Amino acid sequence: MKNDLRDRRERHDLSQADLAAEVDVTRQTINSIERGRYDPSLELAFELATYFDCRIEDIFDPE
Amino acid sequence: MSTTQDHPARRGQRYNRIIMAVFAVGIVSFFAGMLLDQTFVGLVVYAVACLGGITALLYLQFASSVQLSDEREQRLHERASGALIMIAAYVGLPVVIGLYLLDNLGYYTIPPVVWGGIYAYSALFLLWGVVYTVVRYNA
Repeated sequence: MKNDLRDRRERHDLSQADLAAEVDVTRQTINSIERGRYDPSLELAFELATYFDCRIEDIFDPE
Repeated sequence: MSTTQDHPARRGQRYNRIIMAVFAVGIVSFFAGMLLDQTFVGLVVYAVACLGGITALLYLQFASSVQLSDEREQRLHERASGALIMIAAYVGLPVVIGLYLLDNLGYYTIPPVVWGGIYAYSALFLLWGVVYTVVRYNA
């Protein structure tokens, strides 16, 4: 699943560790999501959308 | 934004790494004891490290609010466990069937130690079936 998490994170001037702390996962999980190697759970997707104040489908594109 | 702030997932990851390091120390001590002709000392360190590690894992998992792994790590564990069971099934089953055939045809007599392995192998799948049933009914 494609996503623009990296762009959003960088626009908010956040490191992967910062974002990981905000949504309570490890930095490696954020890295894997950004690289498209891991699709987050619905719960984490909601947390990311809430943090960036957008909808899940604004971040994630199922193609 | 701060990057040094500790948070539950990171704390759990750190605890997990410490416990894995304790297990590693125990295993290395066990083999080092054998190599250095200090088998008993190595065994004591191994036992203390492993029992301590297991106790710490049980405490953190069931008696504390610490989450040892986040969702991605849990999924990795699930995938690794599934792959292990598949490998054991696809590789182990033909071997066991082959041994039974050879034994029954009189080409090979299965020694007691191999029978022990076959029983352990069978018990693994029996246990997997029980655990799967419990998980399924609780899902």
